[in-house]
Amino acid sequence: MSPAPSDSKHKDFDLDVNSSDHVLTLSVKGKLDKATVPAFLKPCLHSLREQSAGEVHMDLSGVGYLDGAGLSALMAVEREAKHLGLGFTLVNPGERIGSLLSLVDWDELAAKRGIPARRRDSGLIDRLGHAAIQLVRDVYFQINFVGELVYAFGFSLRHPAKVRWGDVVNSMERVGVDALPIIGLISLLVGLVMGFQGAVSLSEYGVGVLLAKLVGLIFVQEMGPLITAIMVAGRSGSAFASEIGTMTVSEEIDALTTMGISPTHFVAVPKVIATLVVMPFLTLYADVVGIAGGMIVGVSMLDISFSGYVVETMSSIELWDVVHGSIKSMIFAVLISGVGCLRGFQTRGGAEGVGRQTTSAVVTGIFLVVLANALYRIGHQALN
Amino acid sequence: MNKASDFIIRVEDLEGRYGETTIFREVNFEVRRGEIFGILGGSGCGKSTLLKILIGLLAPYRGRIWLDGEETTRASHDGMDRVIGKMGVLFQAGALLSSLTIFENVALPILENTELRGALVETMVRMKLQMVSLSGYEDYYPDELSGGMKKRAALARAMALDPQLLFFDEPSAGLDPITAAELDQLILTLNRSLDTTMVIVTHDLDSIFTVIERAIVLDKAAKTIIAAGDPKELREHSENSKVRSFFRREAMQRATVS
Repeated sequence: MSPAPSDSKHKDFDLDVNSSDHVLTLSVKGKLDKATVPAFLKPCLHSLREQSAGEVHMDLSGVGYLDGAGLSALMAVEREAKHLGLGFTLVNPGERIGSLLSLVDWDELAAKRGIPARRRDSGLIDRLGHAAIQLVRDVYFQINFVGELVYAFGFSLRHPAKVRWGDVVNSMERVGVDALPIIGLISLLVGLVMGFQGAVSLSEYGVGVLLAKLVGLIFVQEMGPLITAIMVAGRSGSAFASEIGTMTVSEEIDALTTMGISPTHFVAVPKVIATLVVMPFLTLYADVVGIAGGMIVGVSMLDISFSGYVVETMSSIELWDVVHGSIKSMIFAVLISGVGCLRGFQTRGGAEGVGRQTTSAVVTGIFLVVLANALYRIGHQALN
Repeated sequence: MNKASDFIIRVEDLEGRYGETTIFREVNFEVRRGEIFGILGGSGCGKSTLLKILIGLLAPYRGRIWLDGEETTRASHDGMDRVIGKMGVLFQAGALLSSLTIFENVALPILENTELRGALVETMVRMKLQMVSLSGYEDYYPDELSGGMKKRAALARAMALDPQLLFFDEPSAGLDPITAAELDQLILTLNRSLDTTMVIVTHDLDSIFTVIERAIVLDKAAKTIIAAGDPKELREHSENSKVRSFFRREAMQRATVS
């Protein structure tokens, strides 16, 4: 017998190491919990490695408190002992620790190693396959949704009383009225910048007068509808997606279905109608503010009078330009609100899913707007 | 706080409000160390509000609370910060983080609050999952589990750090009878082997009579505690007919108690 002195001191616990010929006795006293485990484990494993052969006895008779971290540490000691080819026995666990031990399947715990990988992070081929399946499902879902939306719209036209007009008005306020300050500010700034740029270039050729025509036409035909669409996609497309996404996740959409209410008609149609109604007005507003921005530069930098600028603008813009802008903005409105609602309905999983679909609503919305704008322009040109 | 040393929770003259509406007032009670304590009452009596105030998610309108000797209702958050590591909460719907696997959910409080790493943490997590019979689901995401499994995973997370104080918000809601009974047994075993104090908000009579040693009963109309004591005693001997009806699952005129 060669009793070794206490190996480790900690406020609440104590470890005695006793090593005889073939038996290493580790006696723990006091608390073995998440705070004392690191201080326990180090000397334990150290004395195990010094023991060449034989048995390890872990004496728990002095343990007053043992928690999950403590149990976990005991298991780590056992693993190390097995690894070194030593026998391992728990001695005197006592009634309370015994009942705690009875809650867990020691052998099963000892058998398993390695932190489980996230199953979704599987191999490249797997992921490619999953992505392909998901793509097909998404396309199917999208076609389905477009059909449902068209049907719900037709239904609303035949039964206008069944449309939730209160929701339409609410959405109009949120999509339209609430967006006025930011759309105004951005249009004004873009108008100012365009005015500066135009004034510098045009006056080089001595045709500063054309500034009104330049800013007016570009705003009414392109900038106004685009700025408005991008702002609405960012503000409202995202809001639709996250609102409907949260409803999907919390089973509100399922509840509507089971009550015999079409979620598309109940949730999506009011939002699409509201956006459709509000967008042309927002676009006109953006046009006017943008032109005003150009005017500020024209009147202050070039020698154009206020009334001259207005007359020049009026004469260069035709009614058809405004009509085209409005038609485009209505197409954009359907695209943005439709995609926003679609992404909401496509939400799966929890909070993370809502975030993903909201991002997707904005990105897809803006992409479709820009694409539709290009196609419209090409079609327009071809027809002329 | 000598007086509070036997009591892990002490509540004095608590009043809870939502806006202008008083939910309950003059609530006084103590929870002894190692006890399984019940907050009982019918729907709408404010038991969930009381729980939210106890765990610091809502501020009380009036009154004081001590958790493990620390006053948590003072303006500074010091008290709550010191206590928060000693308690675990099981929310009604689980409240697992959907972006993490079950394993990561349970490991989260251990990794965030202790210096333990690697195999130790792994064993702790597996052990907790074993206790709630969820071995083999480590790599699942919460949305792939059933309601009862989510709840058990959430219990594993609440127990991850072996807190001295565990709060349960309707633990048996949404569980099948067998799982609910197993949960009750688990609560009893944990209470015995780890000395964990449990505060359980519930109206499930089976588990009330199985696990709860002492309880308070809140009432919607009285807006305060209408009875306190051992549920079995209250069922037989309470002077208040409403309390007896609650424990006997009897209908009262106009006042439905589930």
